[in-house]
Amino acid sequence: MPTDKSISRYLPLTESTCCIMLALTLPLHGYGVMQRVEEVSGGEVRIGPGTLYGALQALEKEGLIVRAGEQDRRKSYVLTPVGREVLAAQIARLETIVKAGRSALGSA
Amino acid sequence: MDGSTVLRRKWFWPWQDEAEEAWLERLSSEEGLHLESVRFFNTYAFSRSGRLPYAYRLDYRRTSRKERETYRQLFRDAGWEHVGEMNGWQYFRKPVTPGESSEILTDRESKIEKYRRLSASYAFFCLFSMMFLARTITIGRGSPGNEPLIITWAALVLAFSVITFKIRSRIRRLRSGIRR
Repeated sequence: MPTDKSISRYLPLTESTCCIMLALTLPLHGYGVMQRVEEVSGGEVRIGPGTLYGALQALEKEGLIVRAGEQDRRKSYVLTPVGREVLAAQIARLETIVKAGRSALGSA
Repeated sequence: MDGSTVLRRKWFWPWQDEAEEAWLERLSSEEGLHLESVRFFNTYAFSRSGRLPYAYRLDYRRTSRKERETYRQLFRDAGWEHVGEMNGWQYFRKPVTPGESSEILTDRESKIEKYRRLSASYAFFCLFSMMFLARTITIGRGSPGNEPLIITWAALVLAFSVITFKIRSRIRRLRSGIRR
């Protein structure tokens, strides 16, 4: 079980990385990630192929995602248990900020 | 005339990738010249046709043979056609569609990463030519006639230093958020 410290060294995640990771709670290949991110963000976040390629490589190297298969030159990935924890920690962090933001703006 | 190949030569410094993209897009929209391949000695091969213009984007990445297909497939899936590779520069094009995003790098971090890879390459070339310069000076000590070689290596050291510096200042600008 990783300690809090080993999780927090990945934080904060960039918006793109965070969105890629939340798309990868289910196994998906690259293009699937792009579509899913656009879909869940209501078109607000778009991830270009250059950004995605670099992010997938970095996440795999860090052990936050793992290869789940390969078909027709398309690699699919899924979150690892550590990746899931990192994502959960990031979401908790964002929740705190969102809450503080709502109350600061008087719309809580 | 459709189908004919037009060759153009033009020099761009490694930090001028955006100017290069703009030049390719201008040729595509104004002259109907669409990039087909990039060749040695800054030669660009175009086909002439009246089709709709392309957007061009340059990525910088040296991939292994094994990774190359995965990398290109990802771009292909996103609608980008790979048209050439030159010294680590990857040329992609996509037909211009109004209202649709045509960026391959969609955040500041990945743009910075691209220039970091580029600057690492040139820092390496710089070091490499410095070693040769030092070697030429020490080996050729006292023997006349190796000045041209010394001058050549020294010029390369200087050129690679300037290029590395220019790319690094580009990274600094991106970091400071003055330019996106």
